[in-house]
Amino acid sequence: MIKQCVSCLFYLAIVFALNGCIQDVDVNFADKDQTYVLNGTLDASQETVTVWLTKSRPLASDIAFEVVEDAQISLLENDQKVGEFTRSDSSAYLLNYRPQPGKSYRVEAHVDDELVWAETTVPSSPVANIRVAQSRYISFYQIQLSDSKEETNFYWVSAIGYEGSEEAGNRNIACAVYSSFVYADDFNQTHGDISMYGWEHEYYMRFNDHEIQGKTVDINFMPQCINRPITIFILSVDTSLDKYMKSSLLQKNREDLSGEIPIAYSPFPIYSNIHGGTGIFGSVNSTSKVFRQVNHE
Amino acid sequence: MNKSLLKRIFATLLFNLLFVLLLSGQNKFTVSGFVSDRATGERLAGATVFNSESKSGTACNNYGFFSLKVPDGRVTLLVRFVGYETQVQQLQLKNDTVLDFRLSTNNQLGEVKVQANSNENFIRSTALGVNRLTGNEVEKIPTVLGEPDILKAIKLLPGVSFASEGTSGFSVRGGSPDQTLIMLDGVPVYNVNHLLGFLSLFNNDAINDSKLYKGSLPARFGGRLSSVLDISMKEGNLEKQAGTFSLSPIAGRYTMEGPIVKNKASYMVSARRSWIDVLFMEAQKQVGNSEQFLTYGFWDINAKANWIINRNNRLFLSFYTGRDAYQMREGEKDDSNYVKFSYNWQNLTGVLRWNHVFSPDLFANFSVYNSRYKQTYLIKYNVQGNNHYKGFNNLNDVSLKGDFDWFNSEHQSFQFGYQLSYKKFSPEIISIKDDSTSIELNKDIFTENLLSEVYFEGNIQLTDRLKSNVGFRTGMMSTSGKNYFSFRPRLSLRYLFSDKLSGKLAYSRMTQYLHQLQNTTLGIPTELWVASTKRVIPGTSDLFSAGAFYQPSPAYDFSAEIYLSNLHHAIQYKPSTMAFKNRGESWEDYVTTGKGKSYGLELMAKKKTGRLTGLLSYTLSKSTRQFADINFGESFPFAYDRRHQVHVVGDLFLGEKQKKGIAIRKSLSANFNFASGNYITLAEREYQGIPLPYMDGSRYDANWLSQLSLIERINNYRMPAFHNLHLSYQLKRKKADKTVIWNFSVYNVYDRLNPWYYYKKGNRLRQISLFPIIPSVSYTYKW
Repeated sequence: MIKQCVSCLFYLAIVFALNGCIQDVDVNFADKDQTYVLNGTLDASQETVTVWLTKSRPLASDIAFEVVEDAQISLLENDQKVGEFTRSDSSAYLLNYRPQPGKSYRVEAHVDDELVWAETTVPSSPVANIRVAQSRYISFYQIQLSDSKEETNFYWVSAIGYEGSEEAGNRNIACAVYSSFVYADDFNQTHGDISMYGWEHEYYMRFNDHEIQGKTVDINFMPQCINRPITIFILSVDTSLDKYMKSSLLQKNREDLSGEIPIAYSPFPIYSNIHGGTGIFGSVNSTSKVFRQVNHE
Repeated sequence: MNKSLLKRIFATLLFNLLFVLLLSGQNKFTVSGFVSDRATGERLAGATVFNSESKSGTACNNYGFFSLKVPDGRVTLLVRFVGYETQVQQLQLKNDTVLDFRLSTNNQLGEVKVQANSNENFIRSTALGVNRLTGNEVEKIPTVLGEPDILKAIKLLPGVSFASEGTSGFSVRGGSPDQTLIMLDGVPVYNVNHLLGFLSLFNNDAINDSKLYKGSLPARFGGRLSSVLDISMKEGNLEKQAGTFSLSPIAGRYTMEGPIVKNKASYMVSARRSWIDVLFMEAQKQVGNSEQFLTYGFWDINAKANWIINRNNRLFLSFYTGRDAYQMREGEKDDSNYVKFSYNWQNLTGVLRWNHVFSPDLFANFSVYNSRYKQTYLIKYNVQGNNHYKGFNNLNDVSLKGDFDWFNSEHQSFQFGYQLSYKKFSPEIISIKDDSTSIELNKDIFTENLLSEVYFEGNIQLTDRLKSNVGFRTGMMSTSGKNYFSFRPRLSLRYLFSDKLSGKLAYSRMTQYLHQLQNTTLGIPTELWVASTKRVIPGTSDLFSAGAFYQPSPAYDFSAEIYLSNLHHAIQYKPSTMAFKNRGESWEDYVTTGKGKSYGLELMAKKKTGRLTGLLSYTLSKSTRQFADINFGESFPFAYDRRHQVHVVGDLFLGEKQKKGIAIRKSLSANFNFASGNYITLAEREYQGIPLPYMDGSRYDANWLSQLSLIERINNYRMPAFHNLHLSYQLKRKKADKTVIWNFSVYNVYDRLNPWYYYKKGNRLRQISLFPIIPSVSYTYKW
């Protein structure tokens, strides 16, 4: 929906832009201090936790992000320390540990007498049955989701497949998810071929359980631009990661569009829950299923 | 303000009021009546009636009614109004007298001799920070594409700031656009934009007069925090049929007015329609694109009728509606790929007013009005529309008002009244329907509120030199089981140093029960009108102002004013609300409450008579906001904050000559503007992000997530200074009752590319300028 509103503005902007003028400008924010950037996602399906610690750089700079090499980073589970991260060759810090659903985690990075930290709670795995369904004319993927009454959930649905053949190895996330699921968030929604599969959602289809809490719902959809084998997944993410995903996708959408035709929108901050710096420390749990032989045509 | 100090001031004023009331029982008669235009019969609000013997006078109310107490015996009354010949009337009074005055406009003369107004309003009244603009004055100001616009003209006044070039949104003394109450014939209008804010909805051919109150806000106005813009439509010519037909490059206007029954009842109808949709359609036909079709246009209609039932009773019925409609269609109607997207917004106002003269010194107006605003976006997936996605934002305001003017004595008059309002706000309603599903979201989160208020204000001459306007507005707003009571004192004082110089002070406390939530400073109606609720308490403001007013001769006005505005409980969206807000959640979860502060100095010089007339204004100001959840709770510059603003408007009469019975008049107008750049939010640095889940390893994580923009402060960048110059040449050919006006204008004469907005393209920041040099021609035919 937002995209429609913005596209409305584009066409009108064209009219004015024809008479107008576009020129490059230099904006000097050089005096701004560097900021610590801490990033990491706890994935309940992974045995290792990875976080990255870097520093910000000036706007439109070509230099690489400065890696913070000498930080002491630790992970706490329900206020109990579970381990110290060790730095890899890159900017990544690693810790062999599998996060547990329902538990709260805190990451603390001590660097140059400063503390950079954040907290997250790992969501439960989505209770979902994923299958291929068939209507009178078309086949599609169906997720039967049983939402938990006890938890507030933020769900993201999409698929991973191959651009071209599997042998070519170009693995990709779907460029769009088509669905007529009425509770889908409209922030990345655009009007697709409704008569076939429904609205088009860029990369993921997002929804929360505000209107379906404790209920079982069927979500029918079709990913686009990828070939089998296809991995269909539904993510349940914590509130911080949800906001990071939504705000970064929205800003990407705006920047893509403004790259084509200049539009007037106020850039907004991408969500960060990092204290003493910026970045994101969130958590995710997922249910997925691989489909290899299904003919979707 | 210190409460005990306030109490002392009010006690003093109350004592003075009683004292003056006791002394007012002298042997005096009342002269009352109406002042109107001789040619059209239109009543002249603000015309002054001045008793030259006693050096006292009064101004007509909004309906042209005056009442003046004068001593018995011989009196000389001077009746004056700007742009009209002064009428002098000598009377020998033996009892109360009813007398109507009909003034002639002075442009019937062969040369421009714009009669200066008396100093009654400028020097002698207690009004501070009040500016008046007529439809005729607006017409002379050069504008982009030749479409006269009262809201563009308002921005030339001191203390009024704008966000982006060409848009009609404005800020008065640091207030947000929604903190100005904009009324058309006494009815609030909730969205004043056409063409995405590049044009206001006020059709200048239908406008008679407007007043901007930004300093002393009389108690009869309430409901907004910073200012009031009171616009009145033409009443309709009581004498003869008349009309106006105008063409500009973007719209056409047609106005008809005339008597229904001569000197008893009249009407006025004015319609305007844009050409843009026609141009869009034609362009698409030429390109031959049948797959996709796009159109955008607007129209509006103003209508008014009035009936003079008898000397003491008059009815007015006013109506306005206007609509902007954007549509985009893909695929043919019977095609399975058919999609139609539309985005519309519409205002509708209607008001019935009854003027009643109870006695020579008591005038009343009763109004009942309805103002509606509706914003709709719709996606239809088939022609029937039974497969759709629809969103609404609705506002409905029904009000009943009574306003009384009591002209008690030569030295005092009182206004009092009441208002009852019912408002229903229905924001963010979503309806989704397809073959198998039909749901409506947010239909239960509408807000209803009931407002009941009374007001009282008194204009009291305390001494020969000191005059006061003291009053209050008080009442209750009830919403969802919560009652908000407010008492808002108003005070303005005028001290007369001489007939040419006065000093004034004013204080107003204001309360606002509704708010406009915006994601952008453009006039794009993506904003929501929402009400105060249990959780979101009403906003309040304290406005202080002081000024010196000097009129060395009737031709010149000079003023200097300072002001301080404190806003409390203002609300604003939290950062990234657009990104974080979930469908089905209330807007209340995404607003933050804060405060604002604005202060400044305003200087104005005005030349009102002679071949060259004009205005020079300068504003030095600062405006900030502070919200708990924005900018880490630190104060930040308001988006409309511009440190310096200079506006120069001049109109030069080039002469008039007669040719074959046709009077040809020529004039040249110029408008120069300078303003410090306004503030916008830009990324300050870049940082490394992480791929979203399952994007890791795909092509999508490579670019945009590896390099994100870091924004830490709101409105962290001031754009370069804004300046431009516009010229227009007006050729007026008049023969008998018919007038043809050609207006040749050049907008932005020296092609200054003022930044309209910045946007990011790759690693570069780019500036877009929308209005280079733009010549235009407009045509008007009046009969």
